[in-house]
Amino acid sequence: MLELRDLRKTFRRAAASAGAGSKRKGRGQAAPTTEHEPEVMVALDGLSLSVAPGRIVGFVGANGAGKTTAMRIALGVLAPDSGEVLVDGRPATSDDRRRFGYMPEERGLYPKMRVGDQIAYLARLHGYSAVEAEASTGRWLDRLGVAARRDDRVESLSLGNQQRVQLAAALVHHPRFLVLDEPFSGLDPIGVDVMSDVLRSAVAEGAGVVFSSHQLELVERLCDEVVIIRSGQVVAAGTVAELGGSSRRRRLSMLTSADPRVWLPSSYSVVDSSVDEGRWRSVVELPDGVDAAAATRAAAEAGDLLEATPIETSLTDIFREVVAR
Amino acid sequence: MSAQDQTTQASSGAWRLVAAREFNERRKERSFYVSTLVTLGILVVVLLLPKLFESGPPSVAFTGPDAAAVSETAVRIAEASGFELSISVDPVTDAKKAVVDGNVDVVVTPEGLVVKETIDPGLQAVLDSAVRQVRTVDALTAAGLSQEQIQSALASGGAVPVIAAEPRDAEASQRQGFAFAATAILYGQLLGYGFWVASGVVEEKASRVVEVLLATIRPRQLLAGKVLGIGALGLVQLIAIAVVGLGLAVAIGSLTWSASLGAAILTSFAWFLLGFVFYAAGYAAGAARVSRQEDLQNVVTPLNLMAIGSFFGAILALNAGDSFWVQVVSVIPPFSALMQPSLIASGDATVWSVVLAVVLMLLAIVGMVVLAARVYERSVLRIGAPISLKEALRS
Repeated sequence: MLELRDLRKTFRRAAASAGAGSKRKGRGQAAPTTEHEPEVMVALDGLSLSVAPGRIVGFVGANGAGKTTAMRIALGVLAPDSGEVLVDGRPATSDDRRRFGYMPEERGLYPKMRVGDQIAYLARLHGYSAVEAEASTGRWLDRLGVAARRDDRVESLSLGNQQRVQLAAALVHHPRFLVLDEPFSGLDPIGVDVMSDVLRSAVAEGAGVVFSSHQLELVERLCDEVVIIRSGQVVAAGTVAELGGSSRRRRLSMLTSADPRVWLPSSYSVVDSSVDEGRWRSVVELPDGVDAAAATRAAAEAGDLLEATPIETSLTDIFREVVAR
Repeated sequence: MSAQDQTTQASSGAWRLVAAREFNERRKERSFYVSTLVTLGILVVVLLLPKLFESGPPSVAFTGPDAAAVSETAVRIAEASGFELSISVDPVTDAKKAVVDGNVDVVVTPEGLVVKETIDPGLQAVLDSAVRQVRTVDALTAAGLSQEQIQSALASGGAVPVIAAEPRDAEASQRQGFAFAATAILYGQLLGYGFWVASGVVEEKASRVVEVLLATIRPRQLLAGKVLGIGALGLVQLIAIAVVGLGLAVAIGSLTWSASLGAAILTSFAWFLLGFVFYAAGYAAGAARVSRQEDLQNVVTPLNLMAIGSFFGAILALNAGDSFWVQVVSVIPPFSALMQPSLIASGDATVWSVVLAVVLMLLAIVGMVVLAARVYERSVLRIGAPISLKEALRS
């Protein structure tokens, strides 16, 4: 189990002195103090999440919400101001972290180094012997379909192939936990399939995976759990079904023979309604604490309900709701 | 392999893996071969050019009734004063034509010394004395003196010796030549390999590979491996240049092998290592503050200026190695890195100054490495606009 517990992280940026117009916009919340004090950016504000072996966790949040910072802290690339990173309940050591696989958001390979040398080098940094590193490099390049490019320089590869090499770099040392920052960004549909397959099989072999993405349909399809963060805090976490169930905006699609706006109790709100040959097709938002079954009964009692179907809440809906809240 | 084995092995040798990568990747780069070949090419040209333009000793022809006597006397005087000349035995009918055509450099005629434009003062002195001596002998013979009397009179008027208060070392000129070449090559190596460290650091930042690396190793290990790997390659190249250059110089007779030359070479290698660690750490710290190769020039300029200043200091040391100020500046790091080899090669170094220079340089290296590691650790993950030194040290 990989756990991030109550992580806090602020960044200080030197305040731009008057007239010097090179002030950069930092990520995260800006909380400028006085003019001469450094500007303080809260990147993480008590963030916790956990990744169990054999599970894929989707890490979702708007740009600047703190995903990359959290992942960098998990990898030990950054140190948190407070909070801890635990592996199997103990604080993560550099030994633990050597069994992590990491794919940073901006990617990162030596452009002029040959593909095979590069992957083998990273395997050796993760503790493999020269022989094991070569063997594992061969296996992964083969598996990802870039074995023929082994002796080419990385910069001569297409972007798609560079992505595959990057994935090989994250997987070559058979990591226990994979931490992937936007692994799907920039991939073509075939690349997405390859990446999805690789993640599924890594999980099948017992690895735990956490990845960030803005492609929410993909997250919904692939992930066992989703963590949504906003301004460095977790605002929702659980399976997609759990998140949908706890959503305030549970909705029902109804077919009725009279206009529901007339006869439905006022605690229900009709978001959308159209009439066709004397039948009203409406989308109704349910009041707090009322589930779809109770709502269906209530509607049947109050009027002439012909048909009622609960509307599945998509991750995109949940995301919009919790992030906007 | 168990997880435990995997980690122990990696953490102890991470810097070695980094160093090996730097060494091997750069060894394969074309610029490495080009720079090695260019340096060797320059060395060969510098060594061979003087040989190509070298002419033998001046040739002299003698005419007139006293030709045989003057020639014989000139040879004797030249030998006595260590002056080399060759006697042309071809008959000369037109003295001016002979010198203009370049058949001989000087024709000694009863009227005087016929030359094309000018005459070497040493040669003039030799020939002048020879002619005068023959004329004196003739005059004394005509005055009725015996040959014995004439010889004893001439013997009393022998050449006036020169007594040098500080005689010049026989090896001095070859040492000067070697010291100059060593200074120029060391300067090139320090600047070239230092800049390689700098551009390597920026390459890792610009390509973001540094983030992947720092997920497995500490920044200090990465920094140490990079500096040591590139430094080792620089030393290998320096040794290759030294072997080829010195071999050629000894083979064509520009340099005579001696124990002091060997010592000067070893000292140069040692100072390369000291200087390199200092400069490379500085270059790495500077480079860590920027994210793009275009910004690199600004942050490494102070170090470049230091190296250029040291180079001129070293040239000054070649010509005025015993001056007080040269002696003072030559122990101050990082100037010592280029000035000490030059002073040692030219024979102007004293034991205390060498010891002091090494101690001060080691202290400077410790300071520079601590500072560089700090700046590097705090800057290497920050992508974007250049980070000021103050900001890098404080945050």
